[in-house]
Amino acid sequence: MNPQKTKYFINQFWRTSIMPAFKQYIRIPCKSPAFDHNWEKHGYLMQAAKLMAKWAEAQKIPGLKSKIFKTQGKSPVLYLEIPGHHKETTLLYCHLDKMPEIGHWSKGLHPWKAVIKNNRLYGRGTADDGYAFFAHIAAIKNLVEQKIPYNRCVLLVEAAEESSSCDLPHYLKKLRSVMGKVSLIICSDVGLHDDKRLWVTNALRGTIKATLSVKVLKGAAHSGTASGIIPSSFRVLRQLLDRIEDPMTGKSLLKSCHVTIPQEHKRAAQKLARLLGKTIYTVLPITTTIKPVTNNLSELLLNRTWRSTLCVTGIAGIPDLQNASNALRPETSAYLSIRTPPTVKPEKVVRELQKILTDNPPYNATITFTPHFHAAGWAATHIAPWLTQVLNHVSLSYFGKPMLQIAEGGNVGVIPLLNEMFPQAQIIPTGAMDMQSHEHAPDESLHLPTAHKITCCLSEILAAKYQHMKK
Amino acid sequence: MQPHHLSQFVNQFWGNKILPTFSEFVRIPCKSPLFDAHWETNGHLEAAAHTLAEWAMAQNIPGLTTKIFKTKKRTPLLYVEIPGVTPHTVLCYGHLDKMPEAEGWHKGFGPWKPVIKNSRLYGRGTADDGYAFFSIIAAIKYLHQAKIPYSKCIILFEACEETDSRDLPYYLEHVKNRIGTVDIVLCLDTGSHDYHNLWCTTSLRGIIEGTLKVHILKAPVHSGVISGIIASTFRVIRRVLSHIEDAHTGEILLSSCYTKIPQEYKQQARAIAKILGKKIYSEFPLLGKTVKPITHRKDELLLNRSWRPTLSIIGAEGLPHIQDAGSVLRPLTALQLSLRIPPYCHPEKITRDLKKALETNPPYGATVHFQPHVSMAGWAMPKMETWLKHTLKGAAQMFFGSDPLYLGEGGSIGVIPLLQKAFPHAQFILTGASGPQSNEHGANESLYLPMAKKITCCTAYIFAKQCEHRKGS
Repeated sequence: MNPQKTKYFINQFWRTSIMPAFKQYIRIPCKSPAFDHNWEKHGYLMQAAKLMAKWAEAQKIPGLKSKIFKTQGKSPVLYLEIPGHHKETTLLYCHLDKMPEIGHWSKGLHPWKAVIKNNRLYGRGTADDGYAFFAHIAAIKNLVEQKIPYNRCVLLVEAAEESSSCDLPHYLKKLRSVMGKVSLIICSDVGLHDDKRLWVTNALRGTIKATLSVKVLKGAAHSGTASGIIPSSFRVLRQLLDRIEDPMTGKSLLKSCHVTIPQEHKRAAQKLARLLGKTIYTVLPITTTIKPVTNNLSELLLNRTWRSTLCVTGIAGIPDLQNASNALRPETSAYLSIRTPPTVKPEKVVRELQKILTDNPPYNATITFTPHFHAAGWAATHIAPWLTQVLNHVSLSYFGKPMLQIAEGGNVGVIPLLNEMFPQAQIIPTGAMDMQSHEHAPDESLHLPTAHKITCCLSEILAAKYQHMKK
Repeated sequence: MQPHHLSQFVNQFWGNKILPTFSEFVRIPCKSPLFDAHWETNGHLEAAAHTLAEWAMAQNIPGLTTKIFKTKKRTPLLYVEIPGVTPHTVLCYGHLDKMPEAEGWHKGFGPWKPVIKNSRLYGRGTADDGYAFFSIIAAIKYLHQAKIPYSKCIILFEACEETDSRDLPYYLEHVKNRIGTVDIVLCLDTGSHDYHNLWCTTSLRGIIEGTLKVHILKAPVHSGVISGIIASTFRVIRRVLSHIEDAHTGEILLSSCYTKIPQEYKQQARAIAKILGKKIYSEFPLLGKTVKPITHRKDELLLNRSWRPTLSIIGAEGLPHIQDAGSVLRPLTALQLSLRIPPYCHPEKITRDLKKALETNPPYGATVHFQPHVSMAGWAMPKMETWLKHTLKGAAQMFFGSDPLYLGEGGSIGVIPLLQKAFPHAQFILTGASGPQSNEHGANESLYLPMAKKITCCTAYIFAKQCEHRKGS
């Protein structure tokens, strides 16, 4: 395979074939079901699926067939099959649903408006994860153009990833038999940490979302008459949070979250820390005075990937500052977003949380812990030597340096799910999201040159997979 | 003075003269400026002042004059002067501004809708504090009609009490000379813990309010990417709060927030604890019977509320509502702190200490900022002269059949220390008709009419005895 030819084709294909359709896609406010209660009535998810299907069919890839599955009450799934030259199958996964608007976008930018500025394409769903579908098709199209053989490919595009892939298990059950023998899974929904190499994720944290409520009164009481007699629900909340997290250090006090970090992951963290240096935290939107939780850089990486952390991401029972009045409020509720180490079963953590938080309630206050969602983490088994070689090779060709494996702190629920369904398959989580992508925040954007490079890499991987099969 | 005669008069006067105009007053949405940005153009505060003034004028009390002071941008002040037989002035303080609507009114009831049910008058501003104006005029009217002498009486009815009385100092400067020497300050704006006794407030706590803000990020970041590397602002705010309050006991950790509790107040607390018993905490809308107060020692609970500092978190910013919570590390967390402080403590000193405790050595170099908004001193009653003690005892015995109950309270009435400073020789009587189920700042505010009438009777009694004493001395 000629990298020059590939680069040329992919760049041109992105400009002429992908961009018009991609821009159309950006205009669709196809928010994930969790963020649009009327998503079914709005039909945006379906609209996006149809747009993608129609576009893919127009690319003249031999034998390409697309089908949109839609079960009543469930978000759609777009499924494509490309016969290829060998029946052993590569599964390419991505998602078309988007995060909501979230906050104020900078002037001139808008979640549902495609804007290109400094090689970046702005809009919701550009980096997370709309580009991936176009990149997957482009990678195959390149092989078709250059007459390079490839394996059978199936493309799975879900529409509820940001809603914790709530509908995917249902469709996977149906699709499993038609997917065939899947031996390689590419998931283009994670990120890279610099633009010098291909980054491959080898671990993900699990996640738990839950509401913790503390109620003391049925109605508000005047803070002058009640304070000192009735405990403040906010203070009780602090007491409870102190049971699960040390407020001084941020260390998780949950026994179920204490795992022995595998030596190889510790070594990988050390290597990565040397490479990334202070950029681990300087890339984050912090002011110059802000210090990270520790100065030990490899510990920071392990904190993010192998240790449990707590974020309070929402609150209820407390008015905003303008409406604050001198009352002892009846209750305080906090929305907890807890990350768990890759190898921990989240069910176990949920049980421990439930027990720790609700046992011996201070002042007999009514404490409720309501778990809303949990997803397991994932730690990769070894990547086959041929694949490691290929990944290094494509990384060198298109980015300049060998690839790096990295443990990530986020959660991509679909990976453990696919891992369970296809335990023999190699899973390559990678992606074009970089530190300026601001996925899940205002001003989401995709760095287009990176997206092009990732597309080239994917094309090479598909070609190499076929070559490896033939051996 | 014939108690029976007085009660009968007050009962009739409340029914015939007060309730029609009081109902009119309830209908006026004269919210305090803090809760009505357009109060000046809306003009409800002035309308309420006029309603009260006109009504007072119509009661044919000899020499009664009213004046509504209104300086531009400031809320109005209703000033009523009633000449009396001695110049030893009784200064009656109250307020006509109201709290905002609040959610959760019972069906058929509403903040601006006067409804009488089970001897209670429902509506915003009934118990807090509209009734006071009517009660004072009724008391004087009775004395005039029964030909019982009374001293000069001044009524100051402000329109900004729920906005920390911010305009009162200005007007007070204005009318101070007109008022002259004040013998007694009577304030009917505090509360009662039951309707069987005459309750007198002997102390008030001060208050410091401010916003504590912890800022770390310039923009939100996906929590998977950042958590474990950069600290959460919510954790930092918990850590910073732990410098000023022990999460486990509620103890405030600043020494300037403490004062030696005077023996007499400890005795009062013990006496009242015996009378109120579990009502000390069961008067609150507790969730189920299981919620426990902070300690089982009932007198300690009363002292906690009146002579010890407590922290309440009354507002928040930087956190979305639970429904909109995403998986991000948010850039900032801000909390509105409301710290009640004991009498004798210095709010300026505490504010400085608070700022220092919260802001010094910010964890992780976070921007931690405390912005104080309100700072108000507490108050402890100056020693009450024996004759006045006897007077209150006489009033309580006559209309409640029991001795008056003296107790330090936990709320703050900024105007009381202000009046004490303006009239350093005055004695203070703080009492009120609002009590259980009055819900002053919440939904379903109501005034228990039999209590209001008894307070009216006591007021008349106090006026009469004060005059008798001053004439004799």
